[in-house]
Amino acid sequence: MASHTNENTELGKLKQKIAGLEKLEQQHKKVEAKLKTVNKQLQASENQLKAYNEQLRESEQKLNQQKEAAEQSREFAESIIDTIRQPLLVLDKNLRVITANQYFYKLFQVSPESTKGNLLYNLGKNQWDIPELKELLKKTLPEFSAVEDFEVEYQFETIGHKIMLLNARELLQKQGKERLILLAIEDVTKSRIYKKELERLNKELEIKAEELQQILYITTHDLRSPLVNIQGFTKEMEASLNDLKKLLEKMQIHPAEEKSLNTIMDEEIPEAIHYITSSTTKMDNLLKGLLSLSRLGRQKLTFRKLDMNRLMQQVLDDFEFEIGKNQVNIEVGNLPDCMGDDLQINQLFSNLIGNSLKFLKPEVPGEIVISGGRVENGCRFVVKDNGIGIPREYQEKIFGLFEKLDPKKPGIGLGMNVVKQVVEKHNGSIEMESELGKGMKFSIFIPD
Amino acid sequence: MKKELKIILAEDDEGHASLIKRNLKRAGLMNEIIHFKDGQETLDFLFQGKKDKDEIKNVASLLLLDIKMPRVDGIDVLRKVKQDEFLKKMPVVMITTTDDPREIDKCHELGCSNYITKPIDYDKFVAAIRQLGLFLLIVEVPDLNNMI
Repeated sequence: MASHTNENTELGKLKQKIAGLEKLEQQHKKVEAKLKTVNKQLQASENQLKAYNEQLRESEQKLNQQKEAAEQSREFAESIIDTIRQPLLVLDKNLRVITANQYFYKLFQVSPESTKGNLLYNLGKNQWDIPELKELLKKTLPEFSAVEDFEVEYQFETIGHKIMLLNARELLQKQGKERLILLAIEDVTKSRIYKKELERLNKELEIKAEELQQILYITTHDLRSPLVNIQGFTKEMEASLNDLKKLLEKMQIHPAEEKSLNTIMDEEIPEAIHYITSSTTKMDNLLKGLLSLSRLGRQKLTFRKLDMNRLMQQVLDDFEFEIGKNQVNIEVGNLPDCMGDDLQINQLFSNLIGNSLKFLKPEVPGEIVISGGRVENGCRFVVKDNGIGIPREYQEKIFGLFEKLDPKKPGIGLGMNVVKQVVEKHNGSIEMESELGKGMKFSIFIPD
Repeated sequence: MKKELKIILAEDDEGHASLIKRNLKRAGLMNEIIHFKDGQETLDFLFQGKKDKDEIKNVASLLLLDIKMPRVDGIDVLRKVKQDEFLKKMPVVMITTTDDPREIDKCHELGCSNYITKPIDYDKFVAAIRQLGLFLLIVEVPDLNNMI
């Protein structure tokens, strides 16, 4: 029994061992599976690491590219700043120069070495120690962060008198960094001198033009005065001649002398008188025209609302004699009120209507039609006649000074020039339509 | 018109003065015409010392004024006459070559009685002076003597 028991004991031990071995195997399998998983994880990690590495390399590449681009941009910006023909300064918050452009060094005759890192006020023998500039940069700029066209006039020791416009701007920096100031300096010394010179010349021109008008006025006026005498005493002489004739008729004169006496009394003296009179009349017309021209230049315009119906009636009343004599039919429409100078607008229409009356066709009854109406921003008036008209090739000339279309007609060729001047002084415009033999049509625009 | 009326003519151009005188006579005015060659002479006469002023006071006067004269011009004379307590009622007629409408307005503003332009056309000139003569024949010239 004992051996049986032993046998049983041995078997039990064996069974236990087998069980232990099985357990061990299981454990080993578990470890192996874990190992596999870890291995897999390890592989994945390696892959990831590789990917990270790749990314890192790409990023580095990008960074390098960006760095290069930034460098290029900086060079680009610097070359632009250096090319700008306007002095530029970058200052730190204590107004110490961080950088300046070429043109700054050139204009103010300082070197980069003596400029960079120095206080603005100490540059070039303290020549920038300008009270107004200090005020601008220390007080005004921090308050407004930008200042434009601040004018500084200063006598520099090295470069003399300068007028400058300063533009200052605070440069935006990321938080924590100190502010920078960009200071652009515009040298306007020359342009100011030119501007002043231009103003002076303009004033001189105005004075000269006024003087010229005055001279024109005085001379024409003074020239008319002697004409009164020439014309007057010529007529007086004519009257005396008639008296003389009557006296001579009563006297006994030798027949041989009578003939030459008659030639003198009836032909020679009257001819002389005729030419003196007609010449003085002609000269008077010239002077009258010049006078009215000078008056136009000298007059100060007084703009007011004009009752054009009334004004036109006044103009036509002045032509009553000519209109009646030539039996001209005048048609006047209802005219709108317009803004203008009373006398000058009167003169304008006088000249236009006078012109129409002068150039009517002798063979048909004359007709002048005057009309008007409101248009945008002003009034338009039309004066139309059925006169002889003018050929196209002369139409541009009619507004010129001393342009006469028909030398046989009275006048001196000023009327239309006056018309043009009046229209110009009113900022208006005038157009003419005409064809030879078909009359003329003037269209005048007078703005409000 | 009162017989004693004197015409004071201020005209720097002697020819014009002569033509004016001739034509006033032809128009029937036989009054004495005192001629001065510029504005200053005219003012000297009008504003002479108080003693001599009686001479002007005793006659009624009418002033014919040219505008353009050397030294003191016609507008200055007109202004001074119209500012004077004693002389301001004296009729003043402007006779001038200027037909500038603004110059005419100025004379009227200052108080001239009439304004005549000297036309170069002698017939018109004669007509203008004749009209002036007719105007003077009917106008009542105030007696300056009674004004003080």
